Amino acid sequence: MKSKDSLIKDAIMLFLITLISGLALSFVFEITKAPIAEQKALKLQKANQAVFVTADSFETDEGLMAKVSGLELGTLDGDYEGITIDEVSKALNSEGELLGYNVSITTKQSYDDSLSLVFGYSKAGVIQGIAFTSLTETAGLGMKAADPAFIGQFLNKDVRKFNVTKTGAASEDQIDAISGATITSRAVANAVNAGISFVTEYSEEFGGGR
Amino acid sequence: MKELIMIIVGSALVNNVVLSQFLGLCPFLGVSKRTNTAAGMGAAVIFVITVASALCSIIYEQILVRFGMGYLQTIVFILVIACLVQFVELILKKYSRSLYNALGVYLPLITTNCAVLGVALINITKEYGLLPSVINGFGTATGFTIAIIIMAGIRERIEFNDVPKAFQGSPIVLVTASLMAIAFFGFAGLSL
Amino acid sequence: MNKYMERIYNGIIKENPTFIMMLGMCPTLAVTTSGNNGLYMGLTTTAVLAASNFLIAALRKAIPDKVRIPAYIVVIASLVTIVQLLLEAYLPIVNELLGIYIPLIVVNCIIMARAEAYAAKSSVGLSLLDGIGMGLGFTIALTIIGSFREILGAGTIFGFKITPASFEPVTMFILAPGALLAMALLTAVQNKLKLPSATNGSGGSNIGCSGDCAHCGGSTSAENRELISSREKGTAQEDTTAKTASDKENNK
Repeated sequence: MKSKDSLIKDAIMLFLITLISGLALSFVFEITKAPIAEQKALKLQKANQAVFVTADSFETDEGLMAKVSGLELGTLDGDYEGITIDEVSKALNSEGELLGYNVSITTKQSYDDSLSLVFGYSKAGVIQGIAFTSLTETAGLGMKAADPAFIGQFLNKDVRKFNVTKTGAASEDQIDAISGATITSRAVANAVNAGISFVTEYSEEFGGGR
Repeated sequence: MKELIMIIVGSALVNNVVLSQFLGLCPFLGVSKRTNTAAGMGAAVIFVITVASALCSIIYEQILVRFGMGYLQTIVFILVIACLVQFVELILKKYSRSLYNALGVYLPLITTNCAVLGVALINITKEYGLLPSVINGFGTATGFTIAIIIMAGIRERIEFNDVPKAFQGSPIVLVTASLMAIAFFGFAGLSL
Repeated sequence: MNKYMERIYNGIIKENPTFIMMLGMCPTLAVTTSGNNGLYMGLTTTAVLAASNFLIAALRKAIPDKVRIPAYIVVIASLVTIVQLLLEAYLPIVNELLGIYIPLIVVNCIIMARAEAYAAKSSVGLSLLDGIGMGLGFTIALTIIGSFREILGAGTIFGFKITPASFEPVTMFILAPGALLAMALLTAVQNKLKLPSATNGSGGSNIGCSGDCAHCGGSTSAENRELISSREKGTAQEDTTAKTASDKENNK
């Protein structure tokens, strides 16, 4: 009988500890919910600004977003399997004129986990800037994707589709792969290509308007 | 189907849990003195991780996400794993004496093996559903088993070698692990 | 030196969790790709460790002996989640850098070991100081290892370039094999200089917790360890294994 009593007592204690922990957790969760959402928005905002410095404000392009939902990028090109467009926003100058688009993309083609990036694409058809919003590749290899030496190769070129090469870039559309991280390099190039082809084929500004 | 095969190759070889992610390092270094104990540990890990991935995935999707309590994942997973291990031990003890003798000793060592919790968390960050989770769990555990058995085999040989004095004991084991990690880097090309 | 300062000294120098007790190897090797990462991981772990030691010492009379391990796990897991949420809200960069290794602090042997070996038997103040001391010891060790790997592997320290341009970084050192190699060199130096370390004299089977993190504080599966070591004894062809087993006993 005695051992049974202590068993129940033990169980009650354990239950109480779990209950209090759970309550404490949900309390902290409620407090941090708003700051976490804010941090995420802030990060996207910063990235948006960084990749399109000439723009003053950004607003989500509802029309294009509607086309994004329900579109399998893999159907545009087999290379775009596993890539999703998270957001397309208009980059506007102070008078509200459209300068180009900012496209946020997540790809699962990367080496580890997935990676997300934002790039600014001007109406002239060149990339203004690229920033990673999530990059968790191998330190020292894939992480070099964020280095200007690699990512700078995409900028200010009138190219519709980039190709990754391991033998030294010879033409405008070729990108030197990061040594030891070909998979990451390809993932980034494919993500950018997918974004470009979406914008050029679906946005009326580029004469696509599908 | 192709995707599932990619997951299993990726988790077992390319991103080997021990040699590239450093999860479950303690048992890898601690229980790898003999091939037979290493194999026993490996079998127990395969069993527990596979079942734990399934359970954690179901609980996460059906309970935590549904009620918006995703933030409780860590605490829930670790408790699920601890209970699962105890439960499996009890069942084995009662119904399968031989299996218990083979695996039983290793089970309690697994509760705090970070690979188990690690896999459950990775399944969520990669947004795997139930089946991919189980496959990923199985692949990861197989990777662990492959690594620990190779390690044990090498260590059995090292015993008869003339190792410099300062490197005797754990340093030579770590050097071995390092060389194995380099070898496993060769699998990186399999990923595409 | 009063007893509170003694706890700090003990944690940083005398029983340094990484260099001397060889606990928590997984995060030690995985996140030390740079000095910064080591520092962040160390400080995050310190916060959890101090809080868990404090809470467990405060609750030590209330927690029934039989269910203490699950109770500790619940307390530690909640603290880790709280820390993770706070990081996500106020220091998102740290959360991103350390990723999955933050929730994995739950299974870091150091925390369980200190709870079981120290906080469960000591006063609240001393336990808190013990947690801080151990945490700082861990932080210092991780920062040193991280900086070492960063200098060799990338030629930078805390992100600043310090090596001359002629130095070609040995990228391997910030990759997985380099972590193991760095650790191997460290323990070899310790052996050579006969510095105190859990790896000396135990024939190598005592790295970390011999596969059993929960045991670190002498908990549940001590019997299993004996079983394994007696099995090993059975299969060993030399007496060395028997010696290892007895060493293991001594180390408890």
